[in-house]
Amino acid sequence: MAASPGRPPTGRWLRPPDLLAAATSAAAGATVVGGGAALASAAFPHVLGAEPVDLARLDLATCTPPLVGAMVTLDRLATDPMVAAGWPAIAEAAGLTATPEVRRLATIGGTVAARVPTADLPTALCAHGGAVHLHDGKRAWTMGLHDYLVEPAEALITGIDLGRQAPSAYRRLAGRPGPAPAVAAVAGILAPEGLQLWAGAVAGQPIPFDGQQPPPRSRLRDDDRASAAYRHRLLSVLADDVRTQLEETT
Amino acid sequence: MRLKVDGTLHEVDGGPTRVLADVLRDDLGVTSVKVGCREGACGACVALVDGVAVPTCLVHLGRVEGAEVVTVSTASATPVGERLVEAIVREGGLQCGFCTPGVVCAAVSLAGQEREWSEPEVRQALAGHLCRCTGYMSLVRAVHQVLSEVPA
Repeated sequence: MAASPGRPPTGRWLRPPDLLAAATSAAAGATVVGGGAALASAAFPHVLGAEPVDLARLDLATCTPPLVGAMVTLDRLATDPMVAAGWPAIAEAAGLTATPEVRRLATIGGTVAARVPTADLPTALCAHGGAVHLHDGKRAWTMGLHDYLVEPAEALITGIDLGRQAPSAYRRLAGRPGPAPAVAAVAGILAPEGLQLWAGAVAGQPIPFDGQQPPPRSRLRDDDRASAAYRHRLLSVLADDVRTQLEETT
Repeated sequence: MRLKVDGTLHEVDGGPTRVLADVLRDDLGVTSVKVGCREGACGACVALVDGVAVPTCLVHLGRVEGAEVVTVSTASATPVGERLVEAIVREGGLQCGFCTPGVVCAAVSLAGQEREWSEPEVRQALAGHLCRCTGYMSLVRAVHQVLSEVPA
């Protein structure tokens, strides 16, 4: 049995009545709880503050692609027919995240906000050119998803724009079959201007590349799970797989 | 904080950021909920929260205030739950029993979807449950048998 994390309990659990109140609390530094999975998991650093702000009762779970509410679960994203038809790489990436049970808890907003380098979804969202809808209690605005991953805004994520519809595919390799963090992943879309690829799980954020050459080794993570050289080679293989998949699709 | 577990209403305390698995085991004595990994990867702590199978180690108490939690005690007593238990025994899908409560809860949840299931789909649906004894084949076979009997 895993040792108890020994995290000190906090006294209050805020359920803001509306988006404005939630955004104001978030801007003031409260920890926002979407699905809550990463916040409770022993696999991630303990970041839950003294007064968590729970979004569960706000109307943020509407899935009307390309706009998806922040509280839409990864399970819903993986099984929504419209997402699967117009943004297949995103549906595939959502369906490959963690376990079926975790996907019923984890939300798209929480997944983006957590900015976990090995997460599947951000790579596919970057490939489609997704964007993040934000609110800080004073104003609402939108920023590119990749920009958010590089430098997140101190604001509440209210929704995600999935980006443009296009044939797309997502491939990953992990240390074992089934639920396990990816060692490397590639998402690709067939845009009018050609194939566009993004490498995931190999650095702090997804990295775009042209399909001929993966990103240089100097930009890739080199750790006890895989060397940069291995990841570089792996990206080539996964990119070929994505390319083949898209050629067969079209 | 009020929590309904297997039909009984409980008052629990200790703070809203405690995780449900700890509350069930330590406060309410529901030891059928096992704690294996504390990161949602093993499935041993899965129970039904408002009908949805979730890893209770990843659910904060604050989130489930007023919710209805069903553990294997209740899930296995439903008609489909009884058939699942029989099938798991018949197929030899258990040994130490650590994974069994979570698997039964998950399978009862799958049966509630009232759709057809292929064996690969069952395997995929149970991908979040680790079994270190029987090697999955018998578990998947048992769950698939029962789901095949549920009207789609």
